[in-house]
Amino acid sequence: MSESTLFILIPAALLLIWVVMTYNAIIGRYNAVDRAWASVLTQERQKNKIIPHVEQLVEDYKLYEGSVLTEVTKLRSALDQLSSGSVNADLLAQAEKQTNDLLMGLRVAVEAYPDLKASDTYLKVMAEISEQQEQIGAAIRIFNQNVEAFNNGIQMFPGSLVNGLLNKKSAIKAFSDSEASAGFDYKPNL
Amino acid sequence: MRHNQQVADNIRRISDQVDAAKTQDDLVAVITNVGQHPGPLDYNDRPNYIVATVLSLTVLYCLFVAFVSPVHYLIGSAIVDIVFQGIIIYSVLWMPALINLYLAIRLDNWAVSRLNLDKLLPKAELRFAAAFIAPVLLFYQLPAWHQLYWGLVELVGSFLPFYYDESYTGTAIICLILLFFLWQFLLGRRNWREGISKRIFLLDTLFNNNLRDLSSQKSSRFDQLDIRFADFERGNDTRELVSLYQGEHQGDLHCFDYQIYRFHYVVKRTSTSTDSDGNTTTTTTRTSHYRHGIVLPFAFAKGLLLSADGKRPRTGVRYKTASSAFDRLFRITAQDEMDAARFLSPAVIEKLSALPQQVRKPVLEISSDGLLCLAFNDDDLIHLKREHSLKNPQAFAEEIAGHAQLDKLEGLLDLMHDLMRLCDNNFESNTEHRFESATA
Repeated sequence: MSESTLFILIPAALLLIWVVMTYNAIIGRYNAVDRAWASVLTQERQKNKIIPHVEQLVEDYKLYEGSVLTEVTKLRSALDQLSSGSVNADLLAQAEKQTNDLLMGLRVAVEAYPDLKASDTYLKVMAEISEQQEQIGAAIRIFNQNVEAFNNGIQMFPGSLVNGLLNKKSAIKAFSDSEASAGFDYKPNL
Repeated sequence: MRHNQQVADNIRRISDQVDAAKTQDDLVAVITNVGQHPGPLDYNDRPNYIVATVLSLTVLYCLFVAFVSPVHYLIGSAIVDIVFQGIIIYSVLWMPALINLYLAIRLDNWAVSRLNLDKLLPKAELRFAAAFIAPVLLFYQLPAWHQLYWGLVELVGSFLPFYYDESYTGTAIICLILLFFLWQFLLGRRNWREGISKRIFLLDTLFNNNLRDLSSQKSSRFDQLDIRFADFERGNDTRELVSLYQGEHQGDLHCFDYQIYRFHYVVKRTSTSTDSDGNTTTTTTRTSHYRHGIVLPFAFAKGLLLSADGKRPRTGVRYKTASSAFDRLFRITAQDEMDAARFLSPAVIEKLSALPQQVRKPVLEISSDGLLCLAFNDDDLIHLKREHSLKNPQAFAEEIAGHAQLDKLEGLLDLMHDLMRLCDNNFESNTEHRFESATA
């Protein structure tokens, strides 16, 4: 093989290796986003664990006049709708809203039932809900981190070149809480 | 001599009082007593400084006549030459006598308590005089010793590259070695307060943080930890725990025992080189390293290793979490992937992501029988900066009377508590975590 052929073949081979590595890195980051989203949903579905305990509270303290039972039904329905097939932030936000409504309902019920406030089950349910919210918050932050890494990978040069030609992936929107952002007048011009 | 004996006795009494202290108040009382002590508390080392001066001058004389005036081996001044030639010639007697004297001073307490030497020679002055005179009388009678001594001096002297008479350079080198040990000895006696202050400060830190010294269990504990945790698979020579303390952490939900250790290991390297003549030389070097860590009972996971130090166990599978950033920080190996998935929930991942900022090269391991070991390179877990010492008893007593808060240790224990809180079952009561007798 002549020197001039090697002069062309070696850079071409290096370029090919770089393209394959960049292509795989984009796929890897995309899969990491997918997995992080699955983790968010898994944590959200963990709320199913608390529903029997809340129902037990309703039974024990006769909380039928309040909205607790309705909120439990709505939360269960919202959790059932969550699917790991695609990134659907609206459904997640809906489940989060139902959780907050249930918490609100429980707090209102506690005002009318002082015994409930001191009960062991109530304290454990509240601790569990608080911990689950912490887990979901962390899962969402990890998801958003992965989204940022993925978006950087496909939008920054030279990853953008490989993505435009081969991967053809679109940027993923980071999760944000529309209810929380509604409380601010300021909107970043993103 | 009697003065120095009184000083030694006083220092020993103070040291015993420190070792017997059970509370912070006891330590403050010891410091206050030192401040009001009638004395004497400082050695009179004038004779030692005279010896050091004579040794230094002998070194200078030997080097001068060996390198500057090598023809006649004299300095030119009759008195100076007579004195130093005498010192050099009679070094065959005074050198072993001097070494024996310092050994006798150093080991006098041991000789009195173990060998009952005080029954034979009740006064310390007599014991020390005997320690000096005995070798002189003994070696004076032994011609073989003279041959052996000058042979040794000339052998040592031959190590200096530019020599004319090895006995001068050899005497200079031996005097320099003696000077080094004498300097160490004098420094130790002058700074005795530093050693005791350090001990008082450590005990105060232990008392303030409810830590118990488990030094007597170091060896057995090391054997238990070594078979459980891959982080102890370091070094190929000496491997030991040099300190072990136990405490209890009371968090909002969980209360658990913990142990703090300092692990010492030595890496031995042997290299062989061959010179142009074909002679082979083997050199062995030993380098000491230390790892520090916390061990605690942890019943919520098993068979896991998270390493930011490149440490890999011999068995297990590689596990990756949902967080790419966390996977870059830690290499995770698990005996069972499901156990790893259950333990590494998003909140746990977030908490542990901050660990490499708290400590250097952390390795977190959970054994199959429910022990957690967090190992790292930082050595400031129970060592705080001391401001004062027994040199200023009043300020030191005030410092000791304050609370010695171990912020780094507290931060790590809070993290461990958070891991327990995030991994436990909120509907079950399992909040007390103690070492089982087999592992404690």
